[in-house]
Amino acid sequence: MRVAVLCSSPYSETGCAVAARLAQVGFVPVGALTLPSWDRATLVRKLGQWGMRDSVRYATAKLSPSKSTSVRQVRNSFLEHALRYKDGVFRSLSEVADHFQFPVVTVADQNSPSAVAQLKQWSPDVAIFSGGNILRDRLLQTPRLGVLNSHLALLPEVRGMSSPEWSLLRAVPLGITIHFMDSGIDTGPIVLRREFVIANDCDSLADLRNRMIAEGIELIAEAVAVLERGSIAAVPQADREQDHQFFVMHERLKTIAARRLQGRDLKPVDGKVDGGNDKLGGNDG
Amino acid sequence: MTDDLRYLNAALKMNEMLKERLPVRGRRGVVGGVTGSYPIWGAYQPMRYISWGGKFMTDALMLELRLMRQVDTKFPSQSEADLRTKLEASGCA
Repeated sequence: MRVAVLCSSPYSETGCAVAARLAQVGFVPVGALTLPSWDRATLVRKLGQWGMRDSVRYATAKLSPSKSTSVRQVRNSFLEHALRYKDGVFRSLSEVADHFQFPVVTVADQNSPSAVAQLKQWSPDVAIFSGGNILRDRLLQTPRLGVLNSHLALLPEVRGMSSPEWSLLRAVPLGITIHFMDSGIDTGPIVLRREFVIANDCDSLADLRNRMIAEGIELIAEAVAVLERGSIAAVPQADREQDHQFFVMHERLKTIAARRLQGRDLKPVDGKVDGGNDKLGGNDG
Repeated sequence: MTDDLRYLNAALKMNEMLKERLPVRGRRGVVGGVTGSYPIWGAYQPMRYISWGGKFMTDALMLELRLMRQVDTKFPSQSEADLRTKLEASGCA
């Protein structure tokens, strides 16, 4: 199975973890397409996501990693097993690429003709989206099977942004969905869908997100494996046109979601994290 | 009301944006006022603080208080059994 990785930045921890984890399980990427590390849009996005203090700390670490941090740390500790190698951690996509021997190409826009041409040259069976632009049809149709995305909620119940938080607030079971991307927002055919039952171990929404991102990467690796075996068929979302899309949640509602997270007591079935269903039954995904 | 929390989410963001734009310093008649245009020299009521703007904003803030108190009762978190039923119905459990 030829796999390509699409990243939002060469320093994206999630992007590095996706590429590294795929390589660890035997799917060394044929290439990684990434957006530049810093441009105006990225800076504005990071400031919005993390605030000034964390953004400055992160930028400092990028500019001078050896001076800013004495210990090589991982922001999301649940990605550590994917990012750790020898005595350090992968800090950039180029480090992962050097280690596992695959090319990394930086593009200003993942939908640009040059990006599509590069992807065509690699001729991947499947591409993994770990962040970046809203992908257009031209790029989505380039990999033979399509572009996979890990969505941090059960589809089709919760689409869009802040999905774990909306799941909590709307009392929808927490879960992760691996699906092929199409021109809609999280409306593509579903490959895997798992309940996330270790949520009761989480002490905050950030903790929940970090765990879900790590679990999503594991599911991506699993999805690639089952796609290679051909033992699974993606299930189209029947209610594709229905409005299940949510936007970034306001902090006050997040407070209520966090309270519900701490109050929940959803125990795993038979002590297993895995819900046990690879293939999704029915057209409701 | 629609019982759709997405409207409340949008309303919270709108109220927050309006609060950020309220002048907290200045002369009487300006402090806490709502401009009739944004920017203040824009269309509708340029260079004015409008009385009905303040009234509508007060209404919006009081509605926000009321709805936020109701979130837990109108949209309760569900028991494990209910969640399990939902999960089984959606083919995931």
